Amino acid sequence: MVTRRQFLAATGAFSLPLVLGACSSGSSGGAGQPLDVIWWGADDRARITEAVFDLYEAKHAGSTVQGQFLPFGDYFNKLNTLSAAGAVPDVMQMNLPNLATYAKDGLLLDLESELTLDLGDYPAASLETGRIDGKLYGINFGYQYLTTTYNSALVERSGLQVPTDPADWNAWADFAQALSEALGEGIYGMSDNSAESNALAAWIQGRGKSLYTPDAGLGYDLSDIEAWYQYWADLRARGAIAPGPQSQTYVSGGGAADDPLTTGLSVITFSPIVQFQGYQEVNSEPLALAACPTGPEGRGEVNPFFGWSVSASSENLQAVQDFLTVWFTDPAAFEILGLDRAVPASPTQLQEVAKSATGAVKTMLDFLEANPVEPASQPAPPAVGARITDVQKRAAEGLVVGAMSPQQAAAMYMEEAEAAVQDA
Amino acid sequence: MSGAPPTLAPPRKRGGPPRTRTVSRFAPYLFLAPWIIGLVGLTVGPVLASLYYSFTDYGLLSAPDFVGFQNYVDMFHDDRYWNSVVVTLLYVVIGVPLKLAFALLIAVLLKDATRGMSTYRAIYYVPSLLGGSVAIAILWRQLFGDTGVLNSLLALVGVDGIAWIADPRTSLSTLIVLEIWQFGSPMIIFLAALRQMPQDLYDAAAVDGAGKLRRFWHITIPLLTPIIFFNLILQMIGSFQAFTPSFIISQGTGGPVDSTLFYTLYLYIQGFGNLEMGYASAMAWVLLLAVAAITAGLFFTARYWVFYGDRG
Repeated sequence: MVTRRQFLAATGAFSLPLVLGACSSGSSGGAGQPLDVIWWGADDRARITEAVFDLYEAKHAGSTVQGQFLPFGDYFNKLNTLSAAGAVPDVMQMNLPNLATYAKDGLLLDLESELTLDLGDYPAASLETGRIDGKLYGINFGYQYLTTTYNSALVERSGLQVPTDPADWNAWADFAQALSEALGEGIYGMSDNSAESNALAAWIQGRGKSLYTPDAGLGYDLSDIEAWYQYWADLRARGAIAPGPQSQTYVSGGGAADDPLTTGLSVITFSPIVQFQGYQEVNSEPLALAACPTGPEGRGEVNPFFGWSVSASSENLQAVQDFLTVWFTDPAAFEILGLDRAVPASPTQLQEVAKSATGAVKTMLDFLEANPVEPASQPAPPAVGARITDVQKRAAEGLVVGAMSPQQAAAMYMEEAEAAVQDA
Repeated sequence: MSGAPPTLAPPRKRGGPPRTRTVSRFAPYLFLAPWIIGLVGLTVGPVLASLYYSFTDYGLLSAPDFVGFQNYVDMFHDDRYWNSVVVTLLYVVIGVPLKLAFALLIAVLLKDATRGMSTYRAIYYVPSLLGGSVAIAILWRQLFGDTGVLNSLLALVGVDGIAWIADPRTSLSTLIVLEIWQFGSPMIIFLAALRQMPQDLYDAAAVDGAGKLRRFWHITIPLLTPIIFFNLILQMIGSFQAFTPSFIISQGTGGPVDSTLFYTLYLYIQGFGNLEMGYASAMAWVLLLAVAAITAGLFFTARYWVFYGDRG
């Protein structure tokens, strides 16, 4: 019979290693330690990323990569908590607003001074997008230009012609209204993109302004934002975009799956070029690309930062360097990566992808060849995180459900944007 | 002093240390030590730390910066904050009474020990078990979504359902329905109390000609007031802290136009999203004080409506 003493002794001995094991978790780095990588995306991106990890491991025997991925909505909350706990992964996927926040707090490695990177023919202009105060904090995956995506089958059915480039926002609005009228009941010309931050950036750039000033202020003012929300309110009044209830899911959610273009409810939408592949996959009809609308002062292509950053506390710098070299210069990696995250900035990479391009990928590459873009340089953003893109969405929601007028939506946006820039 | 167990000191050897007595005096504390360490390290410590952070500007990624009462002042002027207060108050003030009323109703129906009643009791308790979990919240999104089950059922009778979750007029109501759906635990408590009602009072009333409704209102309810009070406090405190339903159903945003922005959700958005941990800590402390004040208020009013039989 087991006495109480024996039982306590046995369970105590059993639990001690567990406690010790739990206490020792969380420190990465050092030779032989796996490289920790974190990114956001869905399963298909995970497959692609992990294939590149396998490639890296094959090329550098003895090193391993441990990856983890999350949906975008949860990503930065998780990364914030990991950073606060001091357990941030070596390599992390980063976007523009958060790059500034993390760089400001000293969490990101200055890539040029700490690593010796040989990125092949990766253009210097693209590298600039990851530079803040002269230091390089991240390497952009490539180009993220805003484009117009439209359903070519529906356009053909309407018998109308797509506006010839350069077409401004009003031309696209008129075209959308004509489409709604021609196609009749239940189909609208355009998706409500009032919450799409890339579209707003293109709008601002088209008016000759930039998102931020060199002294970390806002580069635009209330009139620009009022005009933006008024544009979408007018589109709704003209019947060019779906009424509130039908537009709301996309305005609140914002993914390709919710886009009325995908559900057959609209013909035109605006999205970063790299999302074209995703849109085509979920749409049974053929889609096509057109250049994004111009503004009064031109097009002003925005190429926001979206790429890899490295943790300042990483102890695995040699592995990080090797990994980044493989990612950005290895032809086998180019083939795996395709156009998943961005249109490649490096011409060699672009050529490699073009070799075996079919379907949607080929459409994207043909479009780029026909529409070469000159990336507009932008002042580095202040550390606003997601506050401004969030308020754009909330103001758009207010507009869509009819709770706010365009003026009120714009006022709410500017109030929060100014506060965010102040707090940054 | 009574209560302390007599400790027999062992016979002292000349010059030897009284080790056994010291050990036996400290033994209780040694046994309590793991729990005390947990309490201080995992509960009291963080609570005091959050009090400190509430007076700082703490960006989570950098060191905290003392700012005094600035966070509390900012809260007072923050429209979104007051919106979250209103949403949470609506959720509590509408949801909790409805939940308790529903729980009481079902408990009354289930209190008689007729055939199959124990099965029904188990079935009605199940939603409470599943509770406000993530899985149920996701299920709720699907049920009440634009293309969800509810709208499909309504379509069968020819009613064109709206997007319950996405419409700011009805989104909070779906959350309240979710709360009422978890009526199982107050129901069980009511059931236990109802089964203990003294039968002789009912018999006396019946003899005097009181009908079922009268007996319920004049006997059952007054005798149940302690239980109602208990459930009210418990459910009220829980409701103020509700987070998961709002987080999942609104996908972390607080719903269309902040219509489902619970206080705790706004706290989370400020703390982990906007990296304003100081502000979030201040919000947490205001919530604590508010709930404490409301609880104290309820205890104070209890003397007027709660009938503890043993006090006559």
